Amino acid sequence: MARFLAIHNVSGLTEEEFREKLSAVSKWRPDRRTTILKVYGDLKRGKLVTECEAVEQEHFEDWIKMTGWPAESIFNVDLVMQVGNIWKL
Amino acid sequence: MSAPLEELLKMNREEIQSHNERPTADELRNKTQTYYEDVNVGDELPKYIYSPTPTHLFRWSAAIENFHRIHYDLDFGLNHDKNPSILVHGSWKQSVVPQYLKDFTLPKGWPWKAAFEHRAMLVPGDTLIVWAVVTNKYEKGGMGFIEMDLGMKTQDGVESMPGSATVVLPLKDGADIPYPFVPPTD
Repeated sequence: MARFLAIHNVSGLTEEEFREKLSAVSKWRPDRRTTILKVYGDLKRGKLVTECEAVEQEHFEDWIKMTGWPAESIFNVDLVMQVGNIWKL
Repeated sequence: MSAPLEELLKMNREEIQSHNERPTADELRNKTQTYYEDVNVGDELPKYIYSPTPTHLFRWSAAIENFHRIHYDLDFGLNHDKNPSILVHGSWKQSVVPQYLKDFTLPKGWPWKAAFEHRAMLVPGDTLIVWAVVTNKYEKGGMGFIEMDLGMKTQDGVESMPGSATVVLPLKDGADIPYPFVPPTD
């Protein structure tokens, strides 16, 4: 598995729409190879950052198409620091 | 009426959950005996539906004192083992099979033997369907033997635990299955 981050342009996205897009397991874990771990939103500025664990980037892109949240960039994460723990992926 | 496995797999997770046939403790205490003659080849046993959460996994880790971090520490599971999430314990899956067979056979029958493999990683968010289909039946030594295929499928049809089992049920005009159960010799 690999880790990906994406930055999305979602101008006009509302909290209600955000919730609706992620309201069921199948919406954040669409299949066994793709798990959306976290979605950060700055709805005022129309931006989202999503974090995904997937076998290949293509699987993450499938989810992005499904949500209709266009990504301006996608990154393959190879190093993580979380509350002092550093993980090399 | 038990929904066929094939039908369950066409449903969404919430609908699948609504078909859970796992009996309550009271229902088990008052269960009517299923006799050998009541069972036919091709019958599907009741489906048990589980939707494990991180709380369930943590409770199981504590209960059996298995503190491997892949079962409760999401950061460790994701970043160290590269798993998709925290993982459902194989030992929990193993515990479901004897419970399932015991529930089916009690009060006077007994599970005899079961074998299965662990396949597929299961994670919180999965909906799990425990199923069994009768593949053969025969009488021996005044007892009724039921053979079955069984498993635990995910909502999207992945078989995570293919296996088989044999249970022993009393005949309608037969004696109770003795305890301890000793299989008849050929």
